[in-house]
Amino acid sequence: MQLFRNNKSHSFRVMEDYELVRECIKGNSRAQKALFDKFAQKMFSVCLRYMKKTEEAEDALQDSFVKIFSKLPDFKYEGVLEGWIRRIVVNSCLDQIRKNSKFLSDVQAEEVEYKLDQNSFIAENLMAEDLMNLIQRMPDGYRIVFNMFAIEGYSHQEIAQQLGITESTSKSQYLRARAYLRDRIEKK
Amino acid sequence: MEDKDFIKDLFQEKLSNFETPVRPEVWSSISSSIGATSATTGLSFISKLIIGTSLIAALSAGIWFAVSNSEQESAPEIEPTKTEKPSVLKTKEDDKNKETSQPKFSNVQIKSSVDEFILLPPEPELNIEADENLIIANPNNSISEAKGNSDKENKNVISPVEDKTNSKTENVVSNQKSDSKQAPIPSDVKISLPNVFTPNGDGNNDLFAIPSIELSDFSLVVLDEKGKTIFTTTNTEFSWDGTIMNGDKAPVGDYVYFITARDANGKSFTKYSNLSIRY
Repeated sequence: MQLFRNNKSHSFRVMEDYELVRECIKGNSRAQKALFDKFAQKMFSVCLRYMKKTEEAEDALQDSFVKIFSKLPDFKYEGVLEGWIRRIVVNSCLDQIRKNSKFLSDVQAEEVEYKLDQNSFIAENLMAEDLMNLIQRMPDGYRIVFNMFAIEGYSHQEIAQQLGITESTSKSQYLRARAYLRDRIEKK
Repeated sequence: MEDKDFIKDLFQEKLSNFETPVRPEVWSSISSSIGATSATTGLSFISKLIIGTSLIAALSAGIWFAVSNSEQESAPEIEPTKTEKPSVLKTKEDDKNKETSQPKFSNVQIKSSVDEFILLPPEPELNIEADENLIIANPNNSISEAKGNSDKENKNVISPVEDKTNSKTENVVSNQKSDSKQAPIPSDVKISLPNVFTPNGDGNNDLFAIPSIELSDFSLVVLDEKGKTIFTTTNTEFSWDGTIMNGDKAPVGDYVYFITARDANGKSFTKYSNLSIRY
């Protein structure tokens, strides 16, 4: 996921993260807390984008970190830790959504609507919070595919595998999601 | 807008590193499930101490609630006037007490005969954060909570706010009473309520519907600005195309709708939102 490979201090930060991982594996609880603090807020936003409800997102976050800590010994020290963590978080969210089922069942959408208020219509002024709000109001089918493709950077092929849908469904859901969002952002 | 993928870029840029604060409790439960219990540092000892203290505090608060709840249950008088129609009508005039009147709306709705919705005044200010307002409930209750040990008030009001903290049995008790004009219990159900739709037949957001979740005893009523019922349904799967009683489309304007239902746990709740219709 090239998404997370940026910046000059990249390699330094990677080493820092790797060190943190090693300490966590040793059972250093301070390191565990540090790892959580470092990523929790960002990952919570990820959960919120997939889960809609705050309590569900918290559950997913909690599951994710329990998994992360138990899987840390498998971490290969390749690539960026955040990418690895984010994958686990997304997978936990998908697991939960599957458990709650309803999944991809209510895709005929145009019905659920959240109107941005007057002065946030112009895309440049859109705040991250507004976008979060829009995403959270999207119907499940759109939302998940959109999140995975546009923000997490999964390919349609990966999405299809993960969700058990066809690649073309993934593509069309994404296009519909995009049209949905464009509609809300550009008109009203 | 010519996009190729303007939308993708926008969302990716703004959201891929977006952070949302996490409640500290989340870490507590994570750390306990990964067995980070063997404290290796003084720091975590302190945090344990804090957790311990807050646990004790929470426990004692819980006990306090339990005690005050049982007091409530044994208290025979449940303010009866609150639920009577005349008082609902009164709230029309008394704008200043909007907040206090909110639970009264819900009283009317739980009786759930559709006609009674007409009694409700159209409330332009319902718009604000419509989703969760009902949970907030009335100031009396919060006062009585804040005052804490003022027993008198606690006995008088079985409030929605307190119900939230009560055990299930308490809710069951109140549910049974709900037939006899007892206040409904707002639950924590979260539904995302649409607040606009455009029934102009362009295939885009033409229908008004509530995203399906498991509800029973569902009823929904849409009122116009004059408080007149223009649409009502008891079907959770409904979708409304904006057609009103006389067969016309509802005119452009601002409406409000109310939902009463029971959630998956059988808890009744009431929610409302504004609804603007545009073409």
